[in-house]
Amino acid sequence: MKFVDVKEKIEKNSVWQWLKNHAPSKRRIIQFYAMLLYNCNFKGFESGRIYKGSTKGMCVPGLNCYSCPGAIGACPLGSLQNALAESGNRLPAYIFGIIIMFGLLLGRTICGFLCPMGLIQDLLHKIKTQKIEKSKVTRVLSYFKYFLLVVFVITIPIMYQTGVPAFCKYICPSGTLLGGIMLLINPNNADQFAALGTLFTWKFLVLIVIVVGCVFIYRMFCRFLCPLGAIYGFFSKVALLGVKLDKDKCTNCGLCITACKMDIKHVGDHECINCGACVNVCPAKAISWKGSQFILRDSDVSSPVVTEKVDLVAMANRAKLSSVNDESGNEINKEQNE
Amino acid sequence: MNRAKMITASKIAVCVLLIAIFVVATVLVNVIYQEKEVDLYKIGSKCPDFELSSYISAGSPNGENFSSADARGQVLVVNFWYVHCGGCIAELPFFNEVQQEYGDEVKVIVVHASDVDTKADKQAYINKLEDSSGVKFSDYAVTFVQDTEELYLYGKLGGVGDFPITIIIDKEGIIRSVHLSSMTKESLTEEIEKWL
Repeated sequence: MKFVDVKEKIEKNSVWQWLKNHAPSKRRIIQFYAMLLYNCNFKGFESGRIYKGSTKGMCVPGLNCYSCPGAIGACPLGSLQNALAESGNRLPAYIFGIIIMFGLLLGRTICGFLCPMGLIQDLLHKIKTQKIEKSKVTRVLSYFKYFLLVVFVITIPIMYQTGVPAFCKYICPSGTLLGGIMLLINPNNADQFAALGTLFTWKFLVLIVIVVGCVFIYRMFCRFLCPLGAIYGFFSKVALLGVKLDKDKCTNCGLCITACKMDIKHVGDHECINCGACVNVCPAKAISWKGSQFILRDSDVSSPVVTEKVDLVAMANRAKLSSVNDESGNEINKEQNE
Repeated sequence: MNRAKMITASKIAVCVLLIAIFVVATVLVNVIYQEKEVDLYKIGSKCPDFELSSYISAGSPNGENFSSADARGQVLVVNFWYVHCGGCIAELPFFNEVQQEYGDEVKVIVVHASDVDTKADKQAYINKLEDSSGVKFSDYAVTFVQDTEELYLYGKLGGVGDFPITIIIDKEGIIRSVHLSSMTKESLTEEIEKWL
């Protein structure tokens, strides 16, 4: 009897341990929450019809397709394209204002925390395979999104004033997945299959490429293709929320850049999605959340300890760095002692 | 209360607030702010008479109101579009050709079903826009009319958010078909021929 008990206990413990190790981070919970909140018209999934209430006139911060049956708000990027395409000689002040407001308040924190496409990409990257790490090539590719922004989001809609939201129409995977497929899988829309043409085939291929790409490359769509991220990136320096680097404390050890999966040059630049992965790896406690000084005291900030969440490569590099470069190593130790 | 307890309390408060926002939003969207049920005009039933204001084009040079009662005895083709809908604009030439070919036997009305721009703006679009062969919409023989929020003809005739849609009403005023996607010249002619 005792033997069985012990065995059961071990099993229970291991399950508990597994749950503990796999508990979602706060960021993941916020991402799920944002996705559910944007798409809380659950009736739409059942009926296969798009919600058309008054909240649809409002933009959500993330890239969440207007045509998703659950969506209760509009996509800022889609609204921008449609506004530009219908603007004539008027300035689409509302959508400009709302994008600038999101940019100033949240910046690319939206990408890291509030974008459903970001969540999907994060989850896809969890699939265990060989990953393609960031390199100079991905750094160069990360500028491709500015090309898409200029050509597909701004130029084509303005040039052809016939309402062609070019990015939505030809590229956006959020549109294909949330707007297209979510509507098509509903039996009520079975007759819509007849209307599918080459455009859908093309967009479906783009979606497949992006989905497969995201398994191997962290946030491939975000880094290389998303014009909305490009727009919010302009506000990175001034945004109220995000991570910030204390230059006086920084020892230029480079651990934060190593730990980061985006193509950043330094913490908090236009590629930084403020996910906070660098906060815990900084040995000098130089990286913190903007505004955290109002809430947290110095004693509340945990010293950088090795946890399961810390990237092991980064830790190895850190050891390497401090052994090679005695000076910086000493400096780190000094900071820690203080 | 010490600091640790305060932090815990504020964390719980934030969680409760977020859950409350989610619950309120879900209830509002799913229960209260759902679209009004539209009393659908069914296929095979008589279409109640309606009157719509029209835009100035070759089909209605004076911009007089269109009344469905006047089209009794003609096959009434009702096409719903809006000026920024690419698919709608692509199929409009077929409707114009049909109106020209069948003359008095058929009445084609092209209903603008969005209220975003002002009426003057939409008239300006109709004056400006051209089809692929360079014919201006203002020279079309069809009658351009405007749907209204009170009537909501689009919803009553079966529209669920997609454009373009086309409805055929026969000479007796009975709704014969509702087509929920783009039409070709052939499919349009075929449908009209059935009810002549």
